[in-house]
Amino acid sequence: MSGPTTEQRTSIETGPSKPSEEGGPSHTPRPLARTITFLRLTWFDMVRLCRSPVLLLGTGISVLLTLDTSWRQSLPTLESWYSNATSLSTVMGVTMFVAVTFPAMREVRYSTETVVPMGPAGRLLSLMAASTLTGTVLVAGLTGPGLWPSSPPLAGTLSPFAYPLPLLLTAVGSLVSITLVAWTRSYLPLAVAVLALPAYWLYGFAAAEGGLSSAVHTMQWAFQVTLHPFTVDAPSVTDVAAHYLAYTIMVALFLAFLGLAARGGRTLRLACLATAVVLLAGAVGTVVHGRRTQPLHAPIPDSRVHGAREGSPCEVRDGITYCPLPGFEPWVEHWHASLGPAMAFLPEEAADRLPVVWQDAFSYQRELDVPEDRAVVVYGYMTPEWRYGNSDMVARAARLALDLPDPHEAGMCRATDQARMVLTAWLATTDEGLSRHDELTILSENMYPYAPSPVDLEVARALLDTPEERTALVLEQHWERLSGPRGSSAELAELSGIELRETSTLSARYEDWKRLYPELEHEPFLVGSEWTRRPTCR
Amino acid sequence: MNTTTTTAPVHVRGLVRRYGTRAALDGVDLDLWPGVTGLLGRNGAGKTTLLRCLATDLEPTDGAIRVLGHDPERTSERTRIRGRLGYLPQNPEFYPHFTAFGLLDYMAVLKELGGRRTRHDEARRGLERVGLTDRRHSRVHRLSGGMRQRLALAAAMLGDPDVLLLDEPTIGLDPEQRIRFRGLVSELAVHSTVVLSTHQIEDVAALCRRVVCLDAGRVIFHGTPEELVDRARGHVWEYDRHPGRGHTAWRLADGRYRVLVPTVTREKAPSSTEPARKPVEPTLEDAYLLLTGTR
Repeated sequence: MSGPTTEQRTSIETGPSKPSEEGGPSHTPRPLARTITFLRLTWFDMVRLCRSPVLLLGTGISVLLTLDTSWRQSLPTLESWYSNATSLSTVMGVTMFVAVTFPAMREVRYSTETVVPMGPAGRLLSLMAASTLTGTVLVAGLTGPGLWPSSPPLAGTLSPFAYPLPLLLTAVGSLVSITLVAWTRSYLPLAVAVLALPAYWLYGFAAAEGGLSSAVHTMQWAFQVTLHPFTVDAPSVTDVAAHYLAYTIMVALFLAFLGLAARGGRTLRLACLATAVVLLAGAVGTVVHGRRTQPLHAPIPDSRVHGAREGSPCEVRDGITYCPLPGFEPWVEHWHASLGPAMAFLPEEAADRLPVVWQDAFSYQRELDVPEDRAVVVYGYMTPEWRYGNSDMVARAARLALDLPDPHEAGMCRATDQARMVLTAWLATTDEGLSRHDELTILSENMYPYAPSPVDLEVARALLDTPEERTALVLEQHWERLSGPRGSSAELAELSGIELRETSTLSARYEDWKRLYPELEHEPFLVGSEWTRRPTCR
Repeated sequence: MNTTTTTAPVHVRGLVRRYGTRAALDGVDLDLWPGVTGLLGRNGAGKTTLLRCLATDLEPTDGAIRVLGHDPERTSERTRIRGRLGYLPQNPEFYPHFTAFGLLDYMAVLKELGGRRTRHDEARRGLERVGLTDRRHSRVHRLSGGMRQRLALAAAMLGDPDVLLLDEPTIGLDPEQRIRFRGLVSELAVHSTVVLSTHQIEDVAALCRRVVCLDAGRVIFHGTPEELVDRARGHVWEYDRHPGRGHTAWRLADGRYRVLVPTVTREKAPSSTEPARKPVEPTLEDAYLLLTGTR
């Protein structure tokens, strides 16, 4: 062997001028250079992901879902925003799950002999960061405008812990994919996505409990349990949202460390696996703690809801008590606009029977001390055009005032030929702006469960054309009689000056309904003979 | 280069690399200097293992390596080496969905070549170097084998690395491209240390200042091509017919036989029993075959 020539030595000592050394990272401190490279690679991956046809397709679907207003309520709430955001982030999560398979394969299968300053684990971490950021930006862009300051502001409250959750769900989709690819070095996520759709489709059409359908059912169950392992998914409840956020963060980190373990050297692999195990234990522990803190069906007081006011949540208007959920206080106005005028027709004697309208949550059971015999439950759904919803609330309040049992609760009874049933149905139609068809529909819906007679049907219909003040006066003068089970529809007709043509006080048959309410379409099974066998309402 | 000592850019002492009980490298000592060094050896001689060790892609079982004065066993120094190293593996596999330009851009990011403009300039220069400018938008999986090899070469040469390790770089290249390749490598080798592992002896003859021959994981020759050829003088003959068994011989286009004789023999007068023969000037290939064939 021989040493270098003088020329060679000079070259080594002085060094040539290289493009890579002019102001490049080789002259910057290593940690900074590494950070810069990491950021550049992350940006590179983000740009490429944004050009991915899969991501474009998924984003297109999400945009269509966002623009499609048919499934949204016209008075959105923070909880409905959260629900929509979660749905969109799930769609985007599935999209990222598929889209990120390709760059993950690039790092795992096609870069095994790439010798560059950044190791394979660093490159995979950069891809994780890129996919998480891309998903976050897209989901934030799709869902963020829903939170734009609007007038009126969105009703309800959300725990601050709930806001990052939709973003994290998308990140989890890409992290699952990267981890699967890192460990299998295959296009497995793509195969899963391609096979899952037909399997789910077949499952939908499987008549019998075959092996496939039960397998798909199990997978679906596992997916849902993994996604929502807690007893309730209540984003407004501070501790519940905090548990869910902690769980999701730990799952995301678990996936990240598990994926990195597949690409690192021996030491890094062991460290990553150990961290992943700790994170998994933490996630499981969070679920166990969360389920213990909030058992299934256990009611949740307002004090645990973010933004709850001190003191009683209830307020009284014209004798009617309203107890909205925290953040729903402006809705009292809407409720009272429907309920107030109807209850105003009731006499003074009914004051102690006026309802307590309390709002229960969709996602959990609210703990609130409300007198059961006056409770009218409403939920976080509201639309000014939702006539039947408003009339239903008025009907329930009227039933309480007139002491008529709820037809949908246990111990159903019939109120054939009872004036209070007719009055309940009539009160439900007193909301402003209803068409005749709406009024007849509301009458019909509020009477058929009680098996009304032809006389009941005729009196109810006639009350629509009777001046409301006259009916209110009759109620005031004969309240005790008409609000009890013995006050008949014939008496009400007589007191209101209604001339009756019908005479039958037996339950109306299908033909009677068709004859007396010809404007409506009637279902024979709704007016069947089974109604007549029920006991009379007392 | 930042090195201020007279240490060779690539310095190897007692390098051992075992796969199980088999030693792929068995006590290799080397000092490689700027210029092209040809790495010759039969299949399984340890060429690829040596290159992978030098490329910091494979950890040695024993021994010491210094590349550009850095010890690859130390993480921080290994990173520094990688920043100034180009490595073309034997069977480079590239992500098939990249375009040619996209691949070089990606590699430029990983090689820390700077911002977007610098990277793109470098990627364009790389494509131009290997004659793939017109295929810059083609996906890797749509390129021919030769084109892919050229692209891999361009990727290895991105940023004009101080040390360039090429493992069978001319496989799949047509003669025109091989000539172009030689031009590229020799240009880079003015300042860089290039190690060229190949079975193409003519590439070594055309490019290399020095030659290293490996056999069974050991260096059996390290010197200039001329020194290697000198060793073969007197060992290469042309016979008018096959010399019989026990000789390394092959038939030439004119019907005569080129024969490698391990021991130096004198010119003899033809006899009726022995074929007529004459000594010929050995080539590098002859010398290499003699070197490996005599062991």
